[in-house]
Amino acid sequence: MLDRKIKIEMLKRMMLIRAFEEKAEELFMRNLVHGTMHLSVGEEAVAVGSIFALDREDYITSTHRGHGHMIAKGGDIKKMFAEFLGKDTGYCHGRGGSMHIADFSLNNIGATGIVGAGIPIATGAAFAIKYMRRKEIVLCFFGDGAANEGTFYESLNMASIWNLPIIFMCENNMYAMSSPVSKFIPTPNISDRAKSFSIPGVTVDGMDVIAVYEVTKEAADRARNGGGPTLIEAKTYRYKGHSKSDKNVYRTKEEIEEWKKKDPIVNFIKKLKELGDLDDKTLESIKNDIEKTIEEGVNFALNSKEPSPDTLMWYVYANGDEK
Amino acid sequence: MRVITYKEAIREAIREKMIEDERVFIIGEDIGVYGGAFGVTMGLIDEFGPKRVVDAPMSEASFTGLAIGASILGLRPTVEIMFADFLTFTADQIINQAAKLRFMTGGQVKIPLVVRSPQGSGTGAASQHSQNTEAWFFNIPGLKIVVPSNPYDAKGLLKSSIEDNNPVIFLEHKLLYSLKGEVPEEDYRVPLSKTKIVKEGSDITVVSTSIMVQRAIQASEILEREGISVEVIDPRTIKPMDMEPIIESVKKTHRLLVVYEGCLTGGIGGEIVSRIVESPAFLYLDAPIMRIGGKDIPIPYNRNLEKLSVPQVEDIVKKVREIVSEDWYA
Amino acid sequence: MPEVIVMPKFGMTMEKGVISQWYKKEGEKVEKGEPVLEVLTDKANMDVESPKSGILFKIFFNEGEEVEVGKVIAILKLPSESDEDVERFIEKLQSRHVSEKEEVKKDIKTHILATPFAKRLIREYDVNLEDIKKKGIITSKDINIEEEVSLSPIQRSMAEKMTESAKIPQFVLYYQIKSRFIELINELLKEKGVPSTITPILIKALSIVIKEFPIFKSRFENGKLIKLPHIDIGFAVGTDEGLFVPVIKRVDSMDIKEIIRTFRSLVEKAKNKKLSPSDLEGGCVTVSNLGMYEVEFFKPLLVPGQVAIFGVSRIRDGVMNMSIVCDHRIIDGKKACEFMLRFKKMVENYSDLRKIIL
Repeated sequence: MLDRKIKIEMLKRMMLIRAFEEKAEELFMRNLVHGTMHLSVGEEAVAVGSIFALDREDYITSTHRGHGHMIAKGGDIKKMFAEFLGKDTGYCHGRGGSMHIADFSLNNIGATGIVGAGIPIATGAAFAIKYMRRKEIVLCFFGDGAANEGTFYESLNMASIWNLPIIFMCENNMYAMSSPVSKFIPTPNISDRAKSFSIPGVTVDGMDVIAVYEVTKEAADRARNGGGPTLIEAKTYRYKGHSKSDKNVYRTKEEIEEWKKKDPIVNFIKKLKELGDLDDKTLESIKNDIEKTIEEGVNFALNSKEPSPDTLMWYVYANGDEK
Repeated sequence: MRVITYKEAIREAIREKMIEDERVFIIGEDIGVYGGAFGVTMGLIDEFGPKRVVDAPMSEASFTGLAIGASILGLRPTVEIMFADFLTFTADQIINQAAKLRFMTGGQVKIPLVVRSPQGSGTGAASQHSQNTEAWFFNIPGLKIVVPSNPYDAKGLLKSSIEDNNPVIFLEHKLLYSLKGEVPEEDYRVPLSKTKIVKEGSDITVVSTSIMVQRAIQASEILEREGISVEVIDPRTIKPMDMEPIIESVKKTHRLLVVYEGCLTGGIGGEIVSRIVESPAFLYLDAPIMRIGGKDIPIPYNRNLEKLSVPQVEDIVKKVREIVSEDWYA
Repeated sequence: MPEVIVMPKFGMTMEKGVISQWYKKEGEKVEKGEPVLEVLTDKANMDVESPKSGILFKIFFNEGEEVEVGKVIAILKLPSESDEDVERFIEKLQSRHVSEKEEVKKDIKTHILATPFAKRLIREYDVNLEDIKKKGIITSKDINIEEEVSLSPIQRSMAEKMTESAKIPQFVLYYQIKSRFIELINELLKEKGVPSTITPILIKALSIVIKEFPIFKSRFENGKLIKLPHIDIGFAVGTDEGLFVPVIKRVDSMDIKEIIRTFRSLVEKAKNKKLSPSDLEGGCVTVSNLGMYEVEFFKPLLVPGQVAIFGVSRIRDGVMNMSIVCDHRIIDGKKACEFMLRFKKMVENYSDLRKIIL
């Protein structure tokens, strides 16, 4: 049974993610964000549940829909907003934007915008950990779409033959952009594919943060004790479109409403209240803290400087021009 | 000084780096017991074991990505891609990941990856196993591309490439593997992005890469007997390329010929020519700048057609004669 | 003044027009504003109107001919004019036409094709293009440039000095000197902490011998033999700019350290072109050391005004080749031989030499 403190922390983190996503959307609508963004509203339990089952030094790789992963790992809200607004104070000095957030100090070794491209990289990180006889493990996030990329197959194969300390976390939110899993995945569960690589495949309700935590913890222990990789499929749902250009023509309002009934935050609050772990006062103070954090983050970003054109050619080569 | 082959020089570079630095490991197909398709890694698994000489399944994209992930965590992998033609499989990892991760993360990470692969035609391997791929990644910022033409450079450049903190595409040449050359026993380096004047001359500058350097040298010996003095230049690193010696050379000789194996259209020659035209060397030109490159066709299987499809020594000799005798628009 | 009709410019890009039809004939009357001819441009057929009323006196171009914009195509005779007036005017026009044609010809001539390098040479050396006889693209091979390069002051000075020197009757003697100079230099370094080369040591040694042979302590200029109060010895320094012969003044009152110091500073000055005129004048003898160039024997030229010059060649197995060249107007063979034997004896005796130097 999980400690109350941890459960409250999980709730806080999920709420922070949602608040961040919603604020990010607002900034976008105010035309302050260049480009687009891929929101994970509805999927918070997967990010929080899984990352909380890791040790602080463990590594994660993320995707274009990675804000939740970053925040769950402890990302700095100010630097995240600043990066969205393309400011020099952002995580990537304005070079990466929403899709390419990374924080190597937190061992988030990067979000990639190429579907499936992060899977081999995560596998490589696990390879290096084993090579150096270290104790960390790697949690690799990807979606249902990536499960059809060649790199998914190749990486799970290598992770298995070399027994690497990695957890492959598939966030199955039912759609790869507009492509439904029903059309593109022939088996009921993506986790079934694990069998082909002789590794455990686990399916979990991605809207239940505790359930996600538990299966991830089990997989983490396995990896850390030399038991090799696990494929976890978290069934979840995104309320918003794939990106800001998505008109949601490929699904129905009813479907969205159905999934909202399983909302991870709403249901977790209910559960915690039932268990006596949470009262309205605490909830209120959490909400206020989050509001403050978000506001601070946005103000920091709005008041930050743009990168100077003099630094245009920086960061291309290591031992290059940047000081 | 002792004489060894290009292939042996490369093996030595890998071996010595692996001895010196525990973080260095190599990964590729059949590089272990088999010793690599061209025998470059022969014997290394006996010395270093399967942990550091990693035989990979046929998953070029993913084991290149794996190497990227390992380099993020501080290891220094060298990936072997069996034939440069197969770099196509690695394209996303090299172009969209390795080359860009540093930039996209605002400098948070460095990717000290080396991808080495043999390119080039002349072995009857036909279109899918004979391409010269110098131009393939030439256009991508964030990468370095190194093309050694002889054993001495191969060893020194590979060591420098492994030590460089950026992704390096290291293109070897199949026909050069057996080329012998002087290589000192002592430890040495050849720096990246340092163009070399292979042979001094005064009538024309010939810039060439990889196997074309050897052919240019042979051509220059023939031309010397006719009283034409050829300056042969080998950039060795084509990205980033050190243009200064080439500019100074053209100012001196007033004529430039660029010779490369890759297909003429869109090959590296166009870039070299453009940079010279944009430089002060333009005002010293006494003849139009010319290129000879591979024909714009896939490499044919037939032995003679294969030869005809890329520049040979006679082609270089003929072109230099034409340029020097002002027979430009034949 | 007669009025002219020119080919009009009907559009921004129009360069030429074709005369498609003359409405009027030569000698016919025309009214101001009346169409006189029709011109075909690439866009349309246009009428050309008469600028004034008069007679269409002369037509220069016929139907079907293509004429450049701005060119005169016809002349009007105005009522106030006589035929002669107009004829004269036409004459003038045609002569202008001719010279115009010539100018155009010249333009065509200068509008030649040349490589960038050839163009640069043409510009820099002000080459007359008429002298270049070539069809096709001009390259540097087609341009003959004889560049007169003026002598630098140093070169001029050397040329003068050597010419003067050649006028002086000189003789040369060659000697081989066995000496342990390298050992001495090492000892010098150990004892006095001063690194040195051969030349300062020779200068010191020579100054001792010169004391015993006062005829060498003099200069011969303008027919006058001048006895010098001090021993000033010059030495040759080759630099990228040219040959310099600075003079160390008062060698006889310097110890080896001072000689080396002065020697070094003069070499530095020579290399940095900082020698003053006084650095370069005077001296009774000079030492020229070509040993480092592996020269076996050589005969240096006397520095005008000085009475002797010593040529030092390579040292091999402890044996140094040395030549002495003297002004035969002042020094005879016997004196020179005696000088050199004395020098040889002193230098070949290591302990003597040591005493002198250290």
